[in-house]
Amino acid sequence: MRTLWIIVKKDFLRLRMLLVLWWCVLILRALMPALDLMYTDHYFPQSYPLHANDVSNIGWVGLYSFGLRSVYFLLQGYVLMSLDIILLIFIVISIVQADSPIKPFAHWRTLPISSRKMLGAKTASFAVFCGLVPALINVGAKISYGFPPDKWLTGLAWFEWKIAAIVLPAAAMAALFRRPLLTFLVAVTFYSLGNLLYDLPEIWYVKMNDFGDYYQVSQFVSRFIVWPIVLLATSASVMVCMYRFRRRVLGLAVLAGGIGIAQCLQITWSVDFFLGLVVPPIPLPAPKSAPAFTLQYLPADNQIIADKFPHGEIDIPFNLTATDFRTNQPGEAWFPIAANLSLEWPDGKGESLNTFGDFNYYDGFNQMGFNLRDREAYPVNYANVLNRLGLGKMQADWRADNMNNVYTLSEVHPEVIHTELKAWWRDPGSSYTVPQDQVTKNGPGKLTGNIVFEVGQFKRIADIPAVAGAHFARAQDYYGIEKVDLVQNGVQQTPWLRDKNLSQKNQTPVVANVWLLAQSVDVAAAPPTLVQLAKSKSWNDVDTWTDANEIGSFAWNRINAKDESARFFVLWNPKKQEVRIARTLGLYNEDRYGQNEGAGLSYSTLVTLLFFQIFPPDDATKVSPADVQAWLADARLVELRYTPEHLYTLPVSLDNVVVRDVTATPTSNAPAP
Amino acid sequence: MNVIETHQLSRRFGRLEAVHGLDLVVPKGVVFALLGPNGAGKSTTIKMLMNLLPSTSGTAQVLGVDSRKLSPRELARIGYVAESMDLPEWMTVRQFLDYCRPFYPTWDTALEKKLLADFELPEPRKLKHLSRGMRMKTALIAALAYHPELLILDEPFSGLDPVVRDDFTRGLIEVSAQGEWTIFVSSHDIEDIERLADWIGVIENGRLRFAEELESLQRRFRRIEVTRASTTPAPQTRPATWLNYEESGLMARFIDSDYAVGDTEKRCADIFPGGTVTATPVPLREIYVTLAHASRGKAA
Repeated sequence: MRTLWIIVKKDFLRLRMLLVLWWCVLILRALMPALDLMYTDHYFPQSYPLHANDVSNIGWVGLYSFGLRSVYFLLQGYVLMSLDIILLIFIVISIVQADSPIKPFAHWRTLPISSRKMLGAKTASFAVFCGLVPALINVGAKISYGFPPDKWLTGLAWFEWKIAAIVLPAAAMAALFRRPLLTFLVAVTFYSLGNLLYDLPEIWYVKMNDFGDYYQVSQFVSRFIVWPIVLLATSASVMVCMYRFRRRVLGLAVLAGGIGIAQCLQITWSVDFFLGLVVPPIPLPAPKSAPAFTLQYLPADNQIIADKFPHGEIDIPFNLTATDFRTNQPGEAWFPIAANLSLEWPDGKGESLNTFGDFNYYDGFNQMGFNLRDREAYPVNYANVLNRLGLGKMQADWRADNMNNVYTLSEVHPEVIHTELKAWWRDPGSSYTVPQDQVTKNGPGKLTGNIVFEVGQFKRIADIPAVAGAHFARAQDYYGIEKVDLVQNGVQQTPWLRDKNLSQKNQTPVVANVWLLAQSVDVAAAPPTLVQLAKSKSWNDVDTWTDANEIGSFAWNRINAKDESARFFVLWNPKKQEVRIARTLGLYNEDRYGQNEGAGLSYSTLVTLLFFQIFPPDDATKVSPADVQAWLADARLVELRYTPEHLYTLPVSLDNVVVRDVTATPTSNAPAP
Repeated sequence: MNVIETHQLSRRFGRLEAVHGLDLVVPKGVVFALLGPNGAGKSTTIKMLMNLLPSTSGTAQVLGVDSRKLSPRELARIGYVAESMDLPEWMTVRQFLDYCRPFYPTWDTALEKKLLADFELPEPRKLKHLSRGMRMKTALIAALAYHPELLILDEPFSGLDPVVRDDFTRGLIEVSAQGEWTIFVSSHDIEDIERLADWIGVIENGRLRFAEELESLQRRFRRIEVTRASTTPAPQTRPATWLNYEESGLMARFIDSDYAVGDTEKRCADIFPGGTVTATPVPLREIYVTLAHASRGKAA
């Protein structure tokens, strides 16, 4: 221990300026979010002109629009982040090369210290300088932000992991080379090459028939856990080899071997090596008895899309109706969240439909491998639910045809709230891949498997008064009506409505579009005053959400499933006891492009652009702009939260699934078998 | 007991054979100087002894331990100073000594202070700002302060100005006089070695030419001058031990590498009847040069 301490002390003495500089950068990066929150007053100033027809731009443009914010982004995102990484790499290189294993005249080689001890000393230096001190900075920042003790460790492991991912490979490079500049260049090349190798199979897989297998849950384990472990273990092995045997050839061989193993893993993601090790996808208790459902196969809109890739897509729409599904709690709802289906063709060949749906919605679910894209559940009498939640009645039923794009659990729509016996959902857009040879068979297949869905609770957790009125200045620190558009012929200007041909149903020639910005600030990074405010709004676990999102893995999400919750908003007019549902147009989880990661704070600003449309169900001409203004003047913003509670598995069995090649046959509704 | 023993120690760098079949014995308590021209294999030998470089073949024992297995315990008994040493130059003299001290349980702070004073080193100055000689002195203090049983010096005089070299040599002589030190020093600076060494080894082209006690070497080497009688013809054959033989008029000069009082004179009288013989001691430098010439002549 004494020897270790001598070396650590010596390393500190030598690198003290560089280390202090790096730690200052870390501290600054940790402080930046708070400075940002304290000294920049608006993310979305009132004067910012919205582009109503291009809603996807609103958030981002707003974020980048103003000088102070730009300075913040520049500093946090580029200057500090770059400094952080470059300093760290140079520190690591300096620590190793101060007592290099391959310099034949290195002074330490003549000192009475063994290679093993020197390696231990270097490890201790890394642990203290690059592990312990940054961890203290991290925790210190969290404490100063008023984070509760049980949250201090949140994100710390991830933070340390990211540091290790820089430290260990850089240390391995430094052990293999003698000159710092050369080592730095080689390290940069190594990282770049690593990235290329990491991405190559992905590029390759796109051209493969079964690229759909790419996002298996078990592959997630390979890709996001085993691959980095191999990388770090390889780097550590190179260090051990170099200090133990002092043979560069051996070190390079170990490095090449490690890269080879990692690359093999990367190439073989589709092999479920780790299937048995995968965390159960949803650790929710199953109810004692599953409810009965009926499953109805519907005529397909579009069965096969053959394209330049040797695969086809099939859409199988079907209705799922719960015939005996009772939820007794107000606000209880259920969601289909996963499907494990397979399709067997008449010739006995089968297709696993584990790429059911789309992957591009939400990080946490991207890894599932079988998201259901367009899911929704319709309560028979959702007004009853809203009543039970004390919100009065839900106006109109126009959504029954048009709310097909419920993106993610975090953007849950309240129309799925129900307490009635019957409920059904329709999945018109689910798709899976089919090999080209099956496209031409046209034989009826059999669909079997199961659909997993969960039941959870919606709770009314916050009412934010005075969001409306006075043509709609920001009312709170966190919420504000950005703009209200009263759009004549709103259908034409609202793409998703236009797409659904609402106008053909003689609805909504006048639409009130209410653009509301909801900002939440991660309590991890918010100054204490904001934390207090956040707590008063029951936002204590916002950080859990963002941490989960930052980690970006389904597995981690589900481990913390109990903490996972989804927020959504309704506009509520207490006088009229009416509710308008928010259609979430943008969910901008502005994590500064990861710029805070170096500081270890999972600081995120969740900017949600909510879009309410206010119009009458039956006769749009009855609504005038004044009506809308009057309605909004009394409105309150109500935040609801959904928490999953139970898990159900429903067996599925469908015969006579027919596929056709749309390149040969015009797309049309196929008859139901 | 021998402090260093090598057996057929060899080292190749690709096609170049830097050291070839070196058999060397360094007894305890001596100052052994390994002499040789640049590129003779001195530093390579020392690096193999210190396990800084693996040997291609052969073995070396240092303090009774295979040099490839030198442990911290042995290294704590060996002091090493080399011209090519990669010292932590960012340290001050004081920091460097403070850094080295905890590694050696036998560190003698009083000796450290004495040597610091003797060598007149500026403690607060960084090593990189010291002259070459001062750096070597600092390294020497760090190598002497713990009373190593074996002190290995690789080209310690290289690049030092004469005054510093003299200081350095005197320091070493003082140290060597203080106790049971064994000093193994490589150099091509013969004058300094002559003041210092008890034993001499000469290495050339990676091969050890000889290794012998300096006293015995100096005893058996003599410069002989013979003034022939005018009637005596020049000899046709001469003993092989007569090196660098040359004639000028009646004067014959050579180095006798096997001088023995009386015998050499008798042999000269046989070859040069009536001649007068003068024998004078030969400095180490001349012995070294003579042998070098002789070996090259032989090789030719």
